Amino acid sequence: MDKPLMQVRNVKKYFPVDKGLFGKKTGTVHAVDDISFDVYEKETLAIVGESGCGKSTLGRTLIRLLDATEGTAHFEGRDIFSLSQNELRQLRKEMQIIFQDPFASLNPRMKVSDIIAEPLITHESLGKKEREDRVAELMELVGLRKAYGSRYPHMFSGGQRQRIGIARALALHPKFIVCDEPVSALDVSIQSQIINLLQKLQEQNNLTYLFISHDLSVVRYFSDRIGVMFLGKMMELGPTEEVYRQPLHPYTKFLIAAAPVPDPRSRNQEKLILEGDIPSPLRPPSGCRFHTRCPYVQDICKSKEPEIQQFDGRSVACHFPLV
Amino acid sequence: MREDNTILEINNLKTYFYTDKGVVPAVDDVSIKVKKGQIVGIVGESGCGKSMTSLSIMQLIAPPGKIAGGEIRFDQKNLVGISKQEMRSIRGNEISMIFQEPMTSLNPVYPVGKQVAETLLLHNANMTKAEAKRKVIEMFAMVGIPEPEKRYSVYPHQLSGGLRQRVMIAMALICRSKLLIADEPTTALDVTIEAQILKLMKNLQAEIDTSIIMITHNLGIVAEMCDYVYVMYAGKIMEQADVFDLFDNPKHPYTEGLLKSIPRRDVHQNKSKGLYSIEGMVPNMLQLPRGCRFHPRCEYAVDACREVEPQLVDMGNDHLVRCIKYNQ
Ligand SMILES: Nc1ncnc2c1ncn2[C@@H]1O[C@H](COP(=O)(O)OP(=O)(O)OP(=O)(O)O)[C@@H](O)[C@H]1O
Ligand SMILES: Nc1ncnc2c1ncn2[C@@H]1O[C@H](COP(=O)(O)OP(=O)(O)O)[C@@H](O)[C@H]1O
Ligand code: SF4
Ligand code: SF4
Ligand SMILES: [Mg+2]
Ligand SMILES: [Mg+2]
Repeated sequence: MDKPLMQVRNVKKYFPVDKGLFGKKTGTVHAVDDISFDVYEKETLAIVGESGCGKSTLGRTLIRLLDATEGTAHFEGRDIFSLSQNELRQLRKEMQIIFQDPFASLNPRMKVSDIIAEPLITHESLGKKEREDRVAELMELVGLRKAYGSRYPHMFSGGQRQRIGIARALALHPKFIVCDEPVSALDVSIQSQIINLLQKLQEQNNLTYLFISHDLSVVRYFSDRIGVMFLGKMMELGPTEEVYRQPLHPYTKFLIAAAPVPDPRSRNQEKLILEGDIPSPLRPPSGCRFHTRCPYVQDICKSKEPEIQQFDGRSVACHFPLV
Repeated sequence: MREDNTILEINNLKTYFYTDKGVVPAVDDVSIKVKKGQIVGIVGESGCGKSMTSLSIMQLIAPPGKIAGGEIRFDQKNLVGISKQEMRSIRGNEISMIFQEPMTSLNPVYPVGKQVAETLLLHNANMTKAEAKRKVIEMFAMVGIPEPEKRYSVYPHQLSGGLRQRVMIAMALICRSKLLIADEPTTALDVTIEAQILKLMKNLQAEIDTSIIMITHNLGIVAEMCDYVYVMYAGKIMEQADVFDLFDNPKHPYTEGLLKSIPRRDVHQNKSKGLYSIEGMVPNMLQLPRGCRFHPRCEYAVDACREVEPQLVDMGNDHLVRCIKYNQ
């Protein structure tokens, strides 16, 4: 973890919502709303938050699967958002994504070997033999038997499908991979296999991960730094261990505390529980977006949006950080 | 030798699916006991038979599935084979169930309050509609639905996932069921909402003293909620114990492996060694391994494990385990 691989500045991604009777625009979802951070080389930066807070939108925007509404994202010096289609094709080799639902993300009519070979066909001019060798190498790397190459995705379990998705993402030797909930759909005993695989691949190939997750336990184990999102905003960002030991943002504190712990002896501790529901992203609360649920809310929180404050290496967007 | 405070006793239940490809023993000789006021957990990976166990209790197994053996004693009465009519009066009244996805069990074109009131009216012939409505609103308030009068007449899609699950809980509890079966009730919810729902279930359990069967794949939820736990693998109970005993002293290699392989939000774990993991994957239910069905993944497996299926052995203190290591 040394120099920034990616510098994200003031990124916004808004979606128009037209649910009106006549297809009229009835509102705007501020899915990602003015977010800035750096991603360092070879680190795992986790993005956590509850459903709809904008994690996937952020990940997809950063690798230009979605077009940003505003802002810049420099990757090795070039602004990803202003690249031409041609330049983007080159960039695709360096940035990949692994999805949550390994089934939906694999073409059911393609054989596994063809799925893994697809990026090689579109981006590299390899001979047939070279390509087959590379596919075999990738399958071995992710722990899939060679004989599986001629099978179709539906014949595989969730964990194996995730391995196929990982092999495909690695085909072009990327530097940066957005892992969008890569283990959320998997069984406990399979989760740890895939986490270990991602870790091994990261070490062997010097990968940088943006690791999107809602599992606070997996994130503590797997990430170097963590960013906590709430309704399109980055509430807190910092080194994982520090954030878990002493969260600065009230939301972070309650979010971490909500996750159940596999130890019956901790059940008697009075559990910190957030009241209320997650507000609609169509009508986010004024001021601090968390104010309707925050146990520490003061008057100013309702009217004034908190600025981001820096505390050596950590940042927090709250009028009254827990320091 | 049944103690009076046993409310549900499942003995040697076999729920099989007779498919074109062969017989799937989804629930394979399972025995479970639930005492009054107890929260009993059934934990296991997807496909291990948790939902089929609960649907068997509710007598909701559809073809090609069938209860092929065993008995389900609820309040002394065997539910296996009782008439449809008799079961209808028990279901939703004495035993209720909440599912993972509340949307699938709520009617999208009916106001939620009305749906809950209907359950109440169905089982209380003498109740007036106005009375039912009042009771539903009371129940909505009790399960923490804000503005219960207003929420009475909204449609399911107008509610968040957490509120829909609260409606389901209200529906399940309104008849003061003796047994509540919760099948992954928080799996579809966000973690802060999950914490609210779990707390609600625990409080209501203490308040109205129903028994709960908590079905989950999440060992954290088991640790937080349950008194007694059954660990299921590929249709069989592998281990059962008091929750403290199970976490302090897991005996089955599968339980031990599961507990070692989950990261924790409250403990810093060194990444350099990697996470412990159980190799391989759950077996195909149509071609179960011979002997112990966990043997292809077990690091303690010996030749005998590939030959004979181990029996559940009582280790004392109500702790039972199905593993050859304990067969003396
Ligand atoms: N194509 C789209 N059109 C309109 N709104 C969208 C679109 N994609 C996402 N949104 C909205 O943007 C917000 C953020 O969505 P996003 O999928 O990024 O959330 P997330 O944090 O990944 O959630 P989850 O944990 O459920 O995956 C949500 O309110 C969502 O409904
Ligand atoms: N209609 C069906 N036909 C054949 N097999 C079925 C059917 N329904 C369930 N099963 C099988 O029964 C087993 C147990 O399923 P289930 O109880 O739903 O698992 P869990 O709830 O533990 O995830 C699985 O192997 C599943 O494939
Ligand atoms: S700004 Fe105010 S409402 Fe927002 S998190 Fe901080 S204390 Fe709570
Ligand atoms: S019986 Fe053998 S294979 Fe099965 S759990 Fe015990 S040691 Fe492992
Ligand atoms: Mg997402
Ligand atoms: Mg199930």
